[in-house]
Amino acid sequence: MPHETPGDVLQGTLDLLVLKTLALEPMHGWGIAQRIQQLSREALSVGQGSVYPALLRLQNRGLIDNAWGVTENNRRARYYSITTLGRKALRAETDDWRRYARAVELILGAG
Amino acid sequence: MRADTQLHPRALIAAARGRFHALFDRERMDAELDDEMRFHLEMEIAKNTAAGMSSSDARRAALVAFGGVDRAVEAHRDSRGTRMIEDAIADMRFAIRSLLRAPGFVGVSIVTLAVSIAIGTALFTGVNGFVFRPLPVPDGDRLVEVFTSDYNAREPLGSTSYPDLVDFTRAAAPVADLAGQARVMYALTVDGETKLVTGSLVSSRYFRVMRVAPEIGRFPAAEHPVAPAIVVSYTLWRRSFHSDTSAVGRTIQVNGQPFTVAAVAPPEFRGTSRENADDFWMDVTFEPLVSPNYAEFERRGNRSFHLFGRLRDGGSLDALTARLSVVASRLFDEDPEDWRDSTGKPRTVTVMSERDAVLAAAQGPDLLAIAGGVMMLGLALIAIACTNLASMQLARSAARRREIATRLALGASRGRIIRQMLAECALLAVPGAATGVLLAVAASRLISRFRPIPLPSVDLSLDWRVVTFITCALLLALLVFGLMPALQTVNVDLLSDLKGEHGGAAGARIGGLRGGLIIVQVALSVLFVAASGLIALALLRDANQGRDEARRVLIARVDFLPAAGDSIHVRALANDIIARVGAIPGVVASSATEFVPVTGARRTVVAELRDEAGQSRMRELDATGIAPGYLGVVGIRLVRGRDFAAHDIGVGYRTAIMTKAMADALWPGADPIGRHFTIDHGVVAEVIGVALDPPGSGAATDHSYPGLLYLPMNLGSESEVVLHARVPSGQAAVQREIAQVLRGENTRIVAPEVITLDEYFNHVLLPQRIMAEACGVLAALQLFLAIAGLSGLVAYVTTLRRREIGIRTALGASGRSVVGLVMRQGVRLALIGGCIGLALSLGVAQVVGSTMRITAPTVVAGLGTAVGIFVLVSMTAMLFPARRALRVSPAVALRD
Repeated sequence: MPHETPGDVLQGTLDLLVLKTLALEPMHGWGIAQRIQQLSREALSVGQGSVYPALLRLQNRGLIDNAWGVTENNRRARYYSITTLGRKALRAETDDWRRYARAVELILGAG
Repeated sequence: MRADTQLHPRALIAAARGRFHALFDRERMDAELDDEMRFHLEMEIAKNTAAGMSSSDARRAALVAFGGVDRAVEAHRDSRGTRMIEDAIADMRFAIRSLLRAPGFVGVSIVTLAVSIAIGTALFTGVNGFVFRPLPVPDGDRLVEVFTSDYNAREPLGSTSYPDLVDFTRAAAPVADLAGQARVMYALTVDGETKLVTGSLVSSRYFRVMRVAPEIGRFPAAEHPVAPAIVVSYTLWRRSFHSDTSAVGRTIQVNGQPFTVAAVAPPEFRGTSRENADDFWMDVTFEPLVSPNYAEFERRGNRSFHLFGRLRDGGSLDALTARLSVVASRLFDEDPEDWRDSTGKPRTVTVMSERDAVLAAAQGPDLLAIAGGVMMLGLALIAIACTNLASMQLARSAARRREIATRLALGASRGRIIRQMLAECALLAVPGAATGVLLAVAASRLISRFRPIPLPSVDLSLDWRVVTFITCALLLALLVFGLMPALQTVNVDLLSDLKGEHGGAAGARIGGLRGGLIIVQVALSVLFVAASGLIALALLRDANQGRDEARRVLIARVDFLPAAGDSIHVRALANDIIARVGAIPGVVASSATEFVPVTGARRTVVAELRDEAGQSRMRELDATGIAPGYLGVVGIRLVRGRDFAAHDIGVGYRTAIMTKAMADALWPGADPIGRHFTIDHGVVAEVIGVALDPPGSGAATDHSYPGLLYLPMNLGSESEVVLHARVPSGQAAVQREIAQVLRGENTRIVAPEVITLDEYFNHVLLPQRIMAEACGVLAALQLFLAIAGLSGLVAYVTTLRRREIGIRTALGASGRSVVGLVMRQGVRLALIGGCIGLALSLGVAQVVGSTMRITAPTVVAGLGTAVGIFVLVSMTAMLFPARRALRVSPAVALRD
């Protein structure tokens, strides 16, 4: 049973962000953390360590795959890549997220 | 939003693979995670350094950004989804390690559990087989039983006559297949050796209705068989034919007549009675061949047959009842004498499924009481074993307070510690239970196959009911007896336990739970010791009472064969045998009775007495017929009047002798000699003598009235008599002489053995003896458990109070006061338990008293012995560990 550590970013959200990052290109854990921070213009301050449980969760759902590889400066690192199933899930979850965000926006805007 | 991808086969495979790796590849996974995080941190540090930080600042910033490595690792492990399993495995490992440190504890626990579960399972299987399961024949649950009501209109579930059986079978044919069985005892001669064997006369469709397949041979199938054939039980085949497969087709003698062995029944089939086991089956057609009273079964008044049936497809109980009721009302019209009960109404027919009939036809509440009692005993045994386990667990956990306090202080949650203690409990319970169940299965297999005791046809294999019972009992036991000590254990005072203190005297108080367990054990052990003591004493008393006389009397049961002729010839033959036996040197006197008056053998007569005012009262009296001289032969003293003489015999019951107890009850304070009463609405009998009790009457009969009535025996009209000879000394030689006389007549009589009356009593009292032995074993087991509990308690108190004892000794306390200090609680618990046990024992005395004669002195002696034994043993058991308290050196105790 995966249980959440208190104060974590919404689990589903982090999973979605990781998936989105990997949809662009295969990446190692550090790279994923960097990319999320950059893309969110440092607004989302996720504890970098929490990327790893998210990666394991996605992997156990069959949405990503991993393989050990070598970086540009010749370091051994584990690279994660998105699977076909992962792309399908990303599309579905992105739609879900947009619908959800729009709904929240509507409610907040109505006030 | 997950649903569409989560159930995708690839997702499922990924999840399974992930968990598999997490479980079996944990070390590699951890190592890889380690590598991955190290890489992450190095990259982050490199980035920070490139941004101009000093190396130590870069490292700190990287760690902050990462958000705690350990936390991430733990979160990662949690995400593997195998946390519970890993914890459980860790618990198990730890439990195994800590149990290995206490092999004695483990051994005792497992053995106790295994033995009690095996016994409990066996008891439950027995009750299940006797009461709840159908007969062990194919489709046994489709069997029905047919009853006709008795003449007194009191018992609707009575047996049926053979002519009725024939009529019923014919009428039932379209809806059901009926068969009947009547219990008989015949002399079987195999290889020149003659034995009296009980079996059944059966109607010709019997085995077809039962759908039993023979072990070897073929069941006789003819509707009207001509060649005398007999089917023998597996047990008889093993004992008398030595499992010889060529037994089928051989000729044996049944009451002196040749019969061919047609088949051997399978081992599990011992007839259709749940109380008695049959050893042979013979078609009722052949009954005239072997019995002198051959017309007996042709009478509608002789209701000896039990009717069974199997419904045909489409047949129902109602349809069968309807058809048989039609027959019954026709029979009432045709034969009102035999089909009318004492109220003048026609007798009734009842049909029910065989399984329901077991409970419905049970005599009073006896069967249910016995079944319930046995089941309670089984449950109690399992409960006791678990109590013991819990008690030992508590003792162990008390010794581990410090370890547990340390773990709690280091941050282990209480739930985690409880889980771990439950794991220990499961590690003991599962092998214990498995061993127990295996033992029970093996025992039931062996018993079903080899039948060491004459068990009737009952299904003794394990079934779902038994398995459910065991599983529930175990789960409950695990929960209650594992959880309770675990809960008590974690309820610790961290500070004082860590320091190794126990809060002084207050902390040394024994928890209510543990005290309760010890009280229960003490009570049960006193109870069992008392029960076995009571039965043993009653047996002993009985063995001494009149047994000297019984050893001087030789008896032989003599059955007259059809070749003996009619009743006049039989009487002449009987008198001749009595006279010839009496003439043997060493025999002082000889005589005969209808049967030996002890438990199980009884005959009642209805006596009608008239007082001076002409008022009549009816009494049901136990009676037996005796020949002249019998009282002298068995050493019964006539206190008044005279014995029967030759002219009293064969003229009906015109004279009677009764025991003093009966005379006193019938005519209190008056002289019974010369008084008159009628017997079974017949002639008027005169009391001619008053005798003392017969020997060996210690086994109580369920007397409707005290005492015994002796009637002049109708020699010749009975097909059997019990020959009695008084032999003051040299019994063995005379025994052979008598046997020779009897053997000389073997064309006309069957008399398989000559034994002393004493041996006969021993045989009759066998069930009580077995009960005493079983209680003895249980008592020993209980005593052992109670002692273990009590001495464990004292040892525990001694450990807890080491410091206090040290101080007291240093201040000059005497050895006695120190021992008293540690034993006080044990003694108190033992006293409470002992009182409860004694109270329960009084109830047991009642139960024992219902099968044996128990006097107040016996009860006092029995209970006194139980208490005595218990006090002696338990004090010894407590003194032993208490002596350790004396060896506590003040200096050492105060130092640590």
